[in-house]
Order: sequence, then C-alpha cells, then structure tokens
Amino acid sequence: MVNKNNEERSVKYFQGLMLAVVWLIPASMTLLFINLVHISYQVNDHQTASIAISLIAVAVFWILAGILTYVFIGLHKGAKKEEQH
Amino acid sequence: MDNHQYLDEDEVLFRPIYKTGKGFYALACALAAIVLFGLIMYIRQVMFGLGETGMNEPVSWGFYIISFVFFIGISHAGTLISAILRLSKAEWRRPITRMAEVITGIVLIIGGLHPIIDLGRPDRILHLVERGRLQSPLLWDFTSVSAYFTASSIYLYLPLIPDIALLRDRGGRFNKLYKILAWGYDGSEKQKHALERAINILMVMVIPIAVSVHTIISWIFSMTLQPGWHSTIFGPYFVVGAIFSGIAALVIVMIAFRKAYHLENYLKEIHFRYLGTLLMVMSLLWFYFTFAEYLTQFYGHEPPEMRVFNYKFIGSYAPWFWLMVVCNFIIPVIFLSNKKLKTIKGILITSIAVVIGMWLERLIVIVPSLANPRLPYPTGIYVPSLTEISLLAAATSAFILGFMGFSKLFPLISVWEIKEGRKESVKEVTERLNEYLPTSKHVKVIEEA
Repeated sequence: MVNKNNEERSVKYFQGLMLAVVWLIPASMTLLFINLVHISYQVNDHQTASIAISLIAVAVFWILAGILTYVFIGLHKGAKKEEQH
Repeated sequence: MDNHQYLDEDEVLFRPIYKTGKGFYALACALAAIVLFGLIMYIRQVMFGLGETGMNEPVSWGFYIISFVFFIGISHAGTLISAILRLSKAEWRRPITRMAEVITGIVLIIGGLHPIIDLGRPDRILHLVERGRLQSPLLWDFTSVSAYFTASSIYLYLPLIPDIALLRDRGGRFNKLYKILAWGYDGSEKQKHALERAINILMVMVIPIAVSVHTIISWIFSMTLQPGWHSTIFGPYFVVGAIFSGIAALVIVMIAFRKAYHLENYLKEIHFRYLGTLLMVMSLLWFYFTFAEYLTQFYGHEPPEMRVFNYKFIGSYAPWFWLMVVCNFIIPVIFLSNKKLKTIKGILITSIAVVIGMWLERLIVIVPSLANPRLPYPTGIYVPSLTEISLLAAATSAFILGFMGFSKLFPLISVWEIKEGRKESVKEVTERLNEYLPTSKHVKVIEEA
C-alpha cells in the first residue's frame, strides 16, 4: 500500500515536471525573442518586421503549450473516478 | 497483470514491444556501429576543423546542408500527410498515421542537428541566441523548425495517449513510464472529448506550420542573389519536393516494418496503391515545378544563370541531374501509371528511387549555384570527404535506429484508431454518404445495408 502510494506520488511528480517543461518552452522562446527585438533596435534593423515575426512565432509556442495543458487537465479531471465523485 | 494473459484481437500490434528477435539486435548493433563511426568522424572534424570536409571556397555548403534540407523535407511525410488524411476523414489513414508521425519526430531531430555539424565550431550556435538578427532567414529557419518540432511532437504524443493507457493496463516493463505518459487515461467520455478536441485543433494548426517550414528553408537560398537560387517559386517547389520525398520515405518504412513485424493484415495492398497514387501526383507536380523553374532560367539567358544551367544540364553535374530526373519522374511514371507494375514491389522500387532522386535534387540545387557564383570566381569543385559520407551514413542509420527504438516502446500502428474504425467507421461513412448523395433509391439501399 505504501509502495503504491509512493509510486503514485512519483508519477504525479513527473507529470508535474512535464507540465513545467511544457510552459518553460514558450517562456524561453519569449525571452529569446525579446532579446532579438532588443538587438534589432540596437543595430537599427527593421524593427517592425522583427516584432511581427516574433509575435507570430511566440504565439505558436504559447498556443501549443495551452493545448497540451488543456489535454492534461482534461484527462486528469475526466477520469472515471473523478466522474463518480 | 501478466502481459501473456492479456490477449487482444490486435495482439500482433503489441508483439514487437514484448518480443525481440535476434535479427533486431544484430541490425541494431550494425546501425549503432555506423552511428558510432560517424560520431568519431565528427569529433575529428571538431578537433581539426572544417578542413576535414570537402567544402571550400566558393562551395561552402555541401553534404551537411543537403542532408539538412533533405531530412527536414522527409519530415513532411508525417504530420502533414497524417493531418491532411485526418482532416479529410480518409478512413484508410488509420494504420498509416502513427508511422508517418514518428518519421517526422525522428527526422526533425536528425535534420535539425545538421546546421550545427556544418558550423565546425558547434558552440557558435549560441551566437544565434545571443546576437541573432531577425531579418536573417537563418533565424526564421531556427524558429520555424523549432515550432514544427514542438507541434509534431505534440501531434505524435496526443493520439498515442490511448495506446499508452492500453500498455499501462497490460503491465510489464516500462510500466511507470506508461503511467506517467498516460495521464490517467481510462477512456471516459470526458477524456475522449478533451483529446479529440485538442487533436482537431492541432491538425489544423500543423498544416500551415509544416508548409511554412519548407518555404522558409527555401528562402535561405532564394533570398540571396545567387544564380539558380533567386527564384520566386522556390517556396512551393521545396514544399512539393518535401511532400514527395516524405511519402516515398513513409512507403519504405511501412513496407520494411510490415515485413519485419508481420503487419500484412493491417497494411494492405490498397494502402500502398493509394499512397502510390499520391506519389504519382507529387511526381507530376515536381516535374511541373522543375520544368517551370529551368525554362524561366533558360529563357532569360542571363550569363551567370546560364553558367549554372549548363553546369547542371551538360556540365560536371549532368550525370547527377539526369539521374535525378530518372529517379523522380521517369521511374514513378513507368511504375505508377501501369496497373501491372503498381504492386507493393513496384511502389517500393519507386519510393527508393524517389528518396535517392530527392536527395540528388537537394545536391543539384545547392552545389552548382555555389560552384558558379555571380562574382568572377573560377568554377568551384566539391568532392565530399570520408567525414561527410560517414556522417550521412550515420544520420540514415540513426533514423532507422530511432524508428526501431520507438517500435520497442509503443505500437507502430494506432491500436485505438483501428478499434474505433472497426466499431464506428462503417456507420459514420454510411451517414456521410447519405449526406453527399441525392436522396434516391440508391441511398435507401445503403441505409438498409
């Protein structure tokens, strides 16, 4: 019983880690693009184009993270045990 | 639960996960040896520099960038084909989609590593992060390939969840991994709904991302003023080539694993004939784009453009150019337009020819333009070194090895989709047919059936 509880706890821990990584990707991409837009201002590149490219790219990563989180929460909440409650 | 007690009507799909033959280990060892040799050659290259390769001025891109474009092109097999077939509700897709999606995931990793290998100093990839310029197509490439890899991995993972749950319920090795990845999936209506909704959003999202990736890769070339590269149709030309090579790679993988894992009951001749038809369409499209591209160059008759043109058509690269035409157009037309030759064997021969032909196409696009630059340089010479050849062999072996590894963890054919197809498809297709067709006696016959 104790072993089972431990295993369940470690499964949940790894799932939490997965979720954290899922959000780490768009967050780091956002930071990267903020840096790149900053550079484009420094070197006098086409700033508007840089911002436009960044907005599209960053949005894709956030949407993907959102979809994955939606599924994880949906699966967690939608389990039959949960339904019975 | 002991997995031997758990018998499923689709047991054959789970068998490769639990049983491994000697042949598998022998092949895996041989492939691992090739990968290891490639790794040693790469370490040598890092130690002694890019002088170990055949690249020089003016041909500063060789096998690595050819393989980068080629492997990223192959990745279109998966997500794009799978998404289009799912979106169009093509029922024959069911045993195909998983393999297609796995191809994407693996080749994107392999392809994505090639620009780093090409750098000579791999640490300099960090310059892209620290001091990248957003107006550079190289940075667009980095972004689009990362987005495509993220989207494809999710698109592979989500439809895998019900199968992971089946594996978890069977018990056995890797059970903890399956427990983590299944996220408590037990097939409840709420869970199915959440999963279905996410897959539907993803399959719509993934198509423009996939198209954008190869378009952006083509822009690395077409945004420059190099003769032979500065073309407006390079985007769609590259996308067509990518889908073309992707379908061919998918067919080869399907035939190989069908034979190895005895999947004849799932991957039937009809699947290959349908894919063969798609291959034929793509071959014709590829020829149309190639013809349009070279006719425009020839008609313009600009001296720098003509130097590249002649180099390909009658010069040093003519044997490769005409071999490419044979592989990408002549062989597909002969084999796929003839009913007698359009067998699994014929489609396999065609697919192998197309994969070789599309690799040659990348070679034909990249090297001749660099060998004949617009500036007054003498014509460049490019002969690949052993390092480059061994890294190409290592990349191909890593792809096969990756696929074999995946087959030992997860089913190569989507079990739940096959089950769902058996249970619901006939009814769904009948209903759909009733919607398409005008109300008549014929429809009633279908309804009654």
